[in-house]
Amino acid sequence: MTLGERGYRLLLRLYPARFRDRFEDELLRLYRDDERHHDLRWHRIIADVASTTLLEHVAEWRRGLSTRRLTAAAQPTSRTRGDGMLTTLAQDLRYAVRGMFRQPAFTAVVVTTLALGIGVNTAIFSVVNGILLRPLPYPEPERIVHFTHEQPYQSVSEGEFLDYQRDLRTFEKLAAFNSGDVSLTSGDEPSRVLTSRVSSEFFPILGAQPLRGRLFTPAEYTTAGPRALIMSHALWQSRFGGDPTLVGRDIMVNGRPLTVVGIMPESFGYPSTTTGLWAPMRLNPDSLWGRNNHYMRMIGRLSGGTSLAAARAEANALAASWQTQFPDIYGDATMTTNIVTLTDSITGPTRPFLIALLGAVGFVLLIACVNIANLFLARGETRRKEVAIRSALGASHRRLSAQLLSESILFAIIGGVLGVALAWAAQRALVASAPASIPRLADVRLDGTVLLFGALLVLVTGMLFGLYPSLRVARSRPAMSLREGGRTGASGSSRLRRMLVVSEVALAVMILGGAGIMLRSLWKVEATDIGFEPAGVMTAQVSLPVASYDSERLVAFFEAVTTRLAATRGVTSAAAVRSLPIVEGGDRWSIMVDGVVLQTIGESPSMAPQQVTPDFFRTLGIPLVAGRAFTAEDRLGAPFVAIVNEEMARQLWKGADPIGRTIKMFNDEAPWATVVGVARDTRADGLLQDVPPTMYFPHAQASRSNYSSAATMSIVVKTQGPPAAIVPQLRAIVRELDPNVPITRVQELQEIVDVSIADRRFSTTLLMLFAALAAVLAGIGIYGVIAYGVSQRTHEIGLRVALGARRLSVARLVLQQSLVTSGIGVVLGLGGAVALARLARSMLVGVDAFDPLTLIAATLLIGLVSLMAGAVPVRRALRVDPITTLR
Amino acid sequence: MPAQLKQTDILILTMLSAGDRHGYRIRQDILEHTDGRVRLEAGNLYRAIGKLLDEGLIEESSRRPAQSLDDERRRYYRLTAAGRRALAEEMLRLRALVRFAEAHKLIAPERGR
Repeated sequence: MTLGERGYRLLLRLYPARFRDRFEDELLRLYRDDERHHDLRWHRIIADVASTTLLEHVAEWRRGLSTRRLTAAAQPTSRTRGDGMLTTLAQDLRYAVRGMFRQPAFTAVVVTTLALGIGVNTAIFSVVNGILLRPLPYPEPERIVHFTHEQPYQSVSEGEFLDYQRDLRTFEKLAAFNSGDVSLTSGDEPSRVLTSRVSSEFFPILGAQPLRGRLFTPAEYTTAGPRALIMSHALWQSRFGGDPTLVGRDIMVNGRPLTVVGIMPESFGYPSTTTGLWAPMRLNPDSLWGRNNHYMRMIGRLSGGTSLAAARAEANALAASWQTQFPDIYGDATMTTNIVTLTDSITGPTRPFLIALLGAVGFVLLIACVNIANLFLARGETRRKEVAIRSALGASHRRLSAQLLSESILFAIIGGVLGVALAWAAQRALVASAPASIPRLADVRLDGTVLLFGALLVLVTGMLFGLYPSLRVARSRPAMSLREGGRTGASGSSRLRRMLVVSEVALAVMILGGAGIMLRSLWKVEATDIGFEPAGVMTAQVSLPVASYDSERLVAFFEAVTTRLAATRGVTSAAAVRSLPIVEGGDRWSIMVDGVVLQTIGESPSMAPQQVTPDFFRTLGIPLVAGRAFTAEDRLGAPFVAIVNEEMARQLWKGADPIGRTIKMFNDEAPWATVVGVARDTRADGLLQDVPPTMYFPHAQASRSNYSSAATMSIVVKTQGPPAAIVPQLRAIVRELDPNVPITRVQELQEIVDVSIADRRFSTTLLMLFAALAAVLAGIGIYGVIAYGVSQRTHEIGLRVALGARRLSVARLVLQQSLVTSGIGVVLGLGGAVALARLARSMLVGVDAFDPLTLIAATLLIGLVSLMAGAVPVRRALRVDPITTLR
Repeated sequence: MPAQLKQTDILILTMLSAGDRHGYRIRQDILEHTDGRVRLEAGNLYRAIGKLLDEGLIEESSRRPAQSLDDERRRYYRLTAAGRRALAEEMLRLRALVRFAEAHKLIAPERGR
């Protein structure tokens, strides 16, 4: 017998005896058939058994009812097998099902609370599983690493890549790649496609094979080789309708025909899921600038048995040796490598947020369990008499507690089944509403692992809330319970129940504190001074083919577009810019500064380059803190000018007046440009990165002063009405000048800013939601304990009222207990919240882990919740009539 | 009077209308005739079979296939007269519904009839 069959046999024992007598053999045969055909689906089998055992027990119970009505004598169930533990369990389950039907309100509260707890946990786990836990779809993903440099270089140059590839022994393979947009003019609309140039080991490292066609040949990786492209499945489908004859044909890329040699499968999306084309990287080892031009990233496959630490050590040693070998290039800056697993490089930034969410829902589930344990304890008190009688009639303690435990596990199973249904819906809603910046969303689904996690939760929660109440029963003394007459509650139990409430208040405060501090961070991020005014600005990227546009025509084109747009009705001003703020930061170029003598390029300061047309600063509302903006006169033939931002002025001239100083590119032919203005700092790379020192050049002069005038520029238009209304005119104006030019990334600037913090906003919203859930559950818990306390003390309260107690003192008597209980919980919770926030420090922005404001808010909120939870029982206590209670 | 037939019951009865079958074969037939969309796991299948047996719509068949095909001592089921009637009634009801849908252009009438 296989292990699986053994397990299935055990499961079958959960069915009522009648059902097993009839069908057990057949069920086992069917199981063996599936096993033989390798068609076993355990998650379906478990769901099947869980649902049908329940239904069969219900049916059995109903049958029992009707039989009892007919015949006075209870019919013994037909038994053909001996009493095993699981047969007893089946009996217990039947008893439990009966109990559930007897107390529908109790059942509904318990099942709903559980379904919520298990549901949100399973949903969040499915996200964590898809993004963090499931291995990447590449062979031996743990051996694949992402390899770059630390600041200030970050990227890797060709010379460095070739050295690494030749000398590193800890790497089996190493590949370099970089990405950029190209213009694709085959098909209906010209468009921009994200393209990665990759070196020869790129695909082998990822173990990738094309769906159609082939990978690149060695000849295609050489400078003189044939020009080839590999296309993504998505681009092939969207742009070429999945045309099977595309492989081998030419498409027009950047105005040149290139041959498509292969198409990748749908699952392949590296370095980005939006990568549309891959081209061979043709390295030129003899290039003069090869070692100084840092523009690539690398991936590598570690040799078998090599640790990440060993690879880092070897690579760092090699990088350090270059400092003595090429002092002209590296200067004094220490070169450090940054090697992480590919998985970490993809999911790293998302990880802390996901773990925070998982922690939060874990707390919600714990609170739910505490609540249910409380309910069970309360019910246990009312059932003491029943238990005592059964025990007096000879039921063993073990038998009684096992029965209670199986009851709680049954509750957990029902809650779990509903919870998984809830998780399925929640998971879809999560994925649908999650911002696209979260990696691997497509991998999020409810699979076997997630269901297993759900099943585990069911088991653990069932034990958690059922174990203690059932153990209490095992220890109880039947004679005592019977003698007490069931009137006064046992004080031991009420102390325990108050401890449970203390712990759930503490948990709720912790999660509220955590969510609150994340909310404060979000507010801080939203309040970041971005340095420009995004409202009312429309943007669109326009790329001109360099093949047919020389720099004079480039400048004339963007001048014409912006002039015509500015003359359009409803437009305040229009301009063009090389890199949009927030999303297009990154580049740093080396410069020379007048009066500063440099020995090597390593000593030269590096600044972010920008090219703009005259009205740029006005259009984005960037004030000039000194000097003037560019004008139409700043063109070739006039003196070369530049504008610097405050950060660059601070770094280079440290408070001295920058106006009139001169700078130039680190290149002999570049002219000196005079600084004519200082612009306010604007965020270039997200809202959280520091503002880079930035130099602005007029687009019209950039062909000399900034190497070349940019061919790809973003048009920015400030409008009076809604920005999107200008898009048709914008398209028409560009089309009129050149119908073959792609217009892409048509977006409002405000949207670009919003999207950049969408994932933080998303996770914070979720956290707030879970915190609210936790607070509500805690409130229900407090209510339950106080209400129970009042009902137990009705006698006492009646006596007090009869002896002349005032209403106020009765209310105080009841509320005091509630406030003391939650007070202790709050104090414990505040400590926990601070400890948690310390753990999550990496996610906090502009807020200290110890944030008094958040902690006060959390305390007040829980205080309010416990007051509200106490209000109803207090009313009931005030209405106690001494005559009836004392009689 | 048997209770309302459920989807699963109709599927099982329909498969049995083609001849006697054991549980696994019923399941595989349903899988095949629903393009793999309906896969009954053992518990649900035998729960339904048990109910149909109780209601007298099917019964255990004493006929066995040739010894060579009969790999284990499986239980075979067949439609009873009552089962046949119930299924036929159900099919007539379904046909009326199909006619209705055809008349209201939800689906095109099947040709060749």
